[in-house]
Amino acid sequence: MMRRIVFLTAMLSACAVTSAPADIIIGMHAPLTGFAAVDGKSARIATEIAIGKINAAGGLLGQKVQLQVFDDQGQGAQAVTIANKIVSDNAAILVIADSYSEPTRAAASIFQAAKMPYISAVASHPDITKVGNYVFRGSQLGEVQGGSTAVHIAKALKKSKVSIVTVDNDYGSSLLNGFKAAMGAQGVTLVGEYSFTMAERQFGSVVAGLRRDNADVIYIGGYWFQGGPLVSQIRAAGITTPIISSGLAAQQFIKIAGPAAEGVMIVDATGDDNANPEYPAFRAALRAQEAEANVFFSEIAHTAVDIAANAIRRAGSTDREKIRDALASTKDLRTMYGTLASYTSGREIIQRMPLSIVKDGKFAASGEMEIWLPAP
Amino acid sequence: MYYVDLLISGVAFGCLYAMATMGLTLVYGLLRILHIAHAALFTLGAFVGVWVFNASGSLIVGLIVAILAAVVMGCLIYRLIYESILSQPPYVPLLASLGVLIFLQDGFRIVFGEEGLTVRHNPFYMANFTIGAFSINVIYIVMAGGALISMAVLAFFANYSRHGIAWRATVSRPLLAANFGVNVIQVRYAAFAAGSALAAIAGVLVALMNNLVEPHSGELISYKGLAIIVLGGLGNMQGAFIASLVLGIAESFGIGLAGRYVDRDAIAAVALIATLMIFPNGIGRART
Repeated sequence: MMRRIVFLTAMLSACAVTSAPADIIIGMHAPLTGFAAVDGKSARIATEIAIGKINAAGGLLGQKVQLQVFDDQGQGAQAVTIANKIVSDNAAILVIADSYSEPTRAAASIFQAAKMPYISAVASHPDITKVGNYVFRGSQLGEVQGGSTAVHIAKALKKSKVSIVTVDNDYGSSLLNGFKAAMGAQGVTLVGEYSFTMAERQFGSVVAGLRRDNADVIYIGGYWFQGGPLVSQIRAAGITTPIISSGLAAQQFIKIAGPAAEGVMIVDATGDDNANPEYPAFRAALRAQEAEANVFFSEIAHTAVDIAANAIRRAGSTDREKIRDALASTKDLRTMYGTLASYTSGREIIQRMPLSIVKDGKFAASGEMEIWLPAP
Repeated sequence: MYYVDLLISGVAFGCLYAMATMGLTLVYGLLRILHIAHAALFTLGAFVGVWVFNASGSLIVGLIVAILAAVVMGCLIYRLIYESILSQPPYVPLLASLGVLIFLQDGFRIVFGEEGLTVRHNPFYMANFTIGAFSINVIYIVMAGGALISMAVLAFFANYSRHGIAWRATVSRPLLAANFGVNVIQVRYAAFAAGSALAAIAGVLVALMNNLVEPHSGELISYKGLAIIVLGGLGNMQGAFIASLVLGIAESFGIGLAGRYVDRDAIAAVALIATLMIFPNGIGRART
C-alpha cells in the first residue's frame, strides 16, 4: 500500500512538471574551450545578453526563453555528439551554431534530418546551407566575402596585382575560391598565393614571398590570432603594401598588431561605428563582462538570436516547421550586424557589405562594398 | 633576394630552436629523460617576461624575472616530479613530463587568460635594419645573436670551468664522477637551471616577434624539440645545435616553396626521417 502511494505521488508530480508552462528552449554550440575559446566566450556572452534582453521585455510568445549552451571545442566530432544529444532530448525548438565551419558542417545534417531549425551564425562554408531547408546562415558567405574583395580591389582601390594569404581550413579555402572565381572578370591577377595552418604564428617564409611578389594589395583571410602576428611581421619587414582582410574584425587583432594594424581594411565589418541604436548598450554590456576580445563574433552571435526571435514571433508558435517557414520569409530585419534584407532560396543572407578600416586603434566605418555573388 | 630572405629567417629560427631546446639536450644527456615539459618553461618565460615588461616598462627587468621564474619552475619540476621516478623505465618520466606540460598549459590559461598577452610598447614593431634593397627586422638579428651568445657562454662554461668539467664528467661517467667527489645533484640542478633560462629567453624573443604569447605558445618547440635532440644525436650539444639550424632552414625553405601543401611540423618530421636514414645515430655522436 505504502509503495502504491509513493508511486502515485511520483506520477502526480511528474504530471505537474509536464503541465507547467514550459520555457522556450534555444540550443547553442560554440567553442568554449580549445583553440577558439576566446571566440566561443565572445559568442556565448553576446547570446546571453541578447536572450536576457528578450526575457526582460516579456519573453517570446508569453514564455521565457532558456538557453542551452554546449561546448563543441571547435571540433566536428564534438559537434556531432552535441547535435545527437539536442535532437534526442527533443526540447529545443531551434539551434544556433556560433562556431567554425568544421563543427557546423558536421552538425548541420543531423539537425536537418531531425527537422530542427538551425542557424549557422558564424561559419561561412558554402556546403553548410546546402544540407537542407532547415539550415540557415546568419552571416556573409566566405565565397561572397572573397569575391566582393576582388571586385573592391579592382573597382574601388583600382589595383590589379594581388598576393593572397589564407588560413588552411574551410573558411580560408572558401575565401580563396570566391576571390579566384571573381578576379578574372575584374582584371585582377594573383602574383602570390600562400596558406598557413591554424597553429602558425611565425610567418618568415610568407613575408619573404610577399616581399618578392611586390603586389599592389595583400589580401589576408584568417583569424585575429594569426592575422595579428602576420600583419605585424609584414610591416616589421618594411613592406608597406596596402592590406585588405577578411576575418580580422576582432579588437584583439588591433591589440596584437598595434601600429602595424593602422590602415588595414576589414571586409564585412562595421566595427566600432555600428549604426544600430542598441549598439552602445550592447558594447557596454560586453565590456562589463570583459568580453570585448572579438566583438565581431559577438555581433553575429547576437544577430542569430535577433533572427531566431523574429521568426518565432512571426510563427506565433513553437512548431519547428512554422519557425522554419518564418525564418525563410525574414524581411528587412535590423540586427546587430546590419539589416538582413531577406534570405535567398538557398537560405543565404542578402545584406549589404560594409568595409571598415583600422584608424587610431579602432575599427572605423569606411563605406560599403559592391557585392559579388557566386554563379548559382 | 627571396632565397636570401628565406635563408635569414631559417637561420634566425634555427638559432632560436637551438636556444629553446638546449634544455632538452642537457637533461637528456644527464638523466635520459625526454623532458617535454620544457616547452612549458618557454611559455612561462614568455608570459612572465611580457607581463613584467608591460608593468615595469623595462625589457631587461622583464627578461631577468622571466629567467628567474623559468629557472625556479625548471628546478621544481626536477625536484617534485623527476627525482622520485629516475629509476623507472624511460616512458614513466616521459608520461609524467607530458602531464606537467598539459597541467602548466592549462595553468597559464587560468592565470593569464585564454587570449594571452600582448606587448604594450613593442620596441621591435617597425625596427628594421636596412642595407640598400635589403632589409630585415632587428628581432631576427636579436634572435640569432642572443642564441649564439648564450650558446657560446654555455660552451665556454662546459669546457673551461670546474663546474663545466664536473658536468661533462657526470654526463659520461655518473658513478665515477660521484666517486671523485662531484656533487651529482648540484650538476643536475645546474643543467635544469641553464636549460630553463635559455628557454625563457627564447620565449620572450618569440613573444616580441609575434607580439603575442598564448597558453599553447610552447607547442612551437614541444614535439619539434624531440626531433632536434634525436637529429642531433641524443644528448649531444653540438649535434643539437647543427640539427636546429638544419631544421630552421629546412622549415623556412619548405614553407616558402611548398607551404601550400605541408605545414611546419610536417617538414620537421620529414627532416627527421630523412636525416635518420642517412645518419642512423643522428648528426652528432649519440651519448648512449
